[in-house]
Formats: sequence, structure tokens, C-alpha cells
Amino acid sequence: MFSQLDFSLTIGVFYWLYLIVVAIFILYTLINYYHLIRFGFFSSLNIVVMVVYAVVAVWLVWFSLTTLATLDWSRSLFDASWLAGLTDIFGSIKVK
Amino acid sequence: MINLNAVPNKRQNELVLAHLWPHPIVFIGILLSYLILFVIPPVIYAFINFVTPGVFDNLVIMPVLLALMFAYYLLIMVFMLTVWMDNYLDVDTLTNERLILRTQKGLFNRTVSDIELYRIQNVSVNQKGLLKTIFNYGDVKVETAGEDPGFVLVSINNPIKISRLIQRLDETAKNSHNTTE
Repeated sequence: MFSQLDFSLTIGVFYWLYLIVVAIFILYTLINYYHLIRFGFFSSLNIVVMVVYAVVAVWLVWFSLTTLATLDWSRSLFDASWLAGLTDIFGSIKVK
Repeated sequence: MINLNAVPNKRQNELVLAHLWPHPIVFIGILLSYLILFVIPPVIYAFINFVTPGVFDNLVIMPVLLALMFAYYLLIMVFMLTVWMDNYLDVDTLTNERLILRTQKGLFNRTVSDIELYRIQNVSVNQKGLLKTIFNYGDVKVETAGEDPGFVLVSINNPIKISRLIQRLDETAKNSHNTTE
């Protein structure tokens, strides 16, 4: 009955986890900005920090999303070939 | 944003004399510690690539590590902003009548308190350590009568000058309120 279902886990899990981190990042950034605007002084330093952070943050999110979007996320997470690569780092355990 | 001359419940004829933030070296120290965190992924990458060349060409490892690395950088950035916000909003304001303390602890904990200058009984300076001596910053403890534990102005610039200013304002405030210690 369940033979037709595919339970294989792909590396796309990490892509979704990354998108969750992006959502958390945006949420916390907005909360911080709210505090800086609501309670911070109208000073050049405060404005410079907010502008520089916004520029770097937008660039990093855009760059990371465009970079990750070009990759193939359909590969199986339990593909043994990458385990072999990892274990070769230590040179003691070999996976065939 | 708040105007530089704005204070909570500002009184008539109340003048803002100084806003006291932690010394810039405190912010620079925090910034440097986060910059070290920024360097960690390239160092790990260089090390693994040196030990096992070509491991990052793997079509499973490379996307996963890239996603983890970007997530790491985003989290560091938002932590940096939170630390900046936390420290920048910790500002003590000295007026000719009051000492006002605004404290931000994390994202959702903000307290504002004040003390009348004429109630101040003791002002002490704590400036220990090499960095504090070189860059001339330290803590100023302001104590009042009664059970009130008083305030500590943490890591402010030129603490001796500030403590003298508070003492002078305290004398003036006491005279104008006709109080005795």
C-alpha cells in the first residue's frame, strides 16, 4: 500500500531551513528598526548605522537567495557519496 | 526618532546638559568580536579545502554548506544590530534638575527612571583597568538617601569630569530646594 510513497529526504530541507532563517532575520531586523526609530535619537550616527545595515542586509539576502536558487536541491540527503567526501577529511573512515 | 533635547516629562526651564553613552571603545570592542565571527567560515573553508582538496565540489555538500554559511551570516548580522540597539538605547541624560536613565535590555525590556539631583548624597568614580585608564572611561556611581540603591552610569567617557559636574549641579539643586543633607 505504501510502496508508491517516496520517503526520501532531499537537501532541499536545508534550503527551506535557510528561508526560515531569512524570515527570522527580517522579523528581528524590523523589530530592531522599530526600537531605533521609536526610542533612538535623531542623530547622524543612528541614521548611518541604520542605512549601512539596510544596504548590507538587502544585498546579502538578495545575493544569497539568487545564489542558492541556481543550485540543484533535489539530491538525496542520504547519498553516500558525500559521506565519503566528509570522512576523507579525517582519513580514517572510508564509506564505499 | 527623538529630538536630542527631548527628555521624558520635560519640565519648564529644564535644560539638557549631556547625554551619556558608553565610551566608543566599548562599541568598537563589540564590533571587533563580531568581525572575528565573520572570519570563521572562510578559515574553516580554507582548512578543509587544504586537507581534502575538491570536497566542496561535491554537489550535495556544497549547497548545504552554502545555505548554512548564509544563514550563519544573517544571524550574526541581526545579533550585531540587536547588540547595537541594546547599547545605543542605554543612554543616561543629565539635566539641570534630574539624572534620567533609559535602559534597554534585549528587544522587549525597556525601563526609564530618574533621580532628582538634590536627592543625591554621594557620587563615586570607578576607573579600573588598562583600557579604562588609557581611553579615560569608567563607571560613575550615584547614591541617594534611603533604600534606593542609586544608579551606576556604566563605561561613560571622562567619568571624573562627569562626577564633578553632577556634584556641582547637586549643590546648586540643593541650594535652590533649600534642603540639607
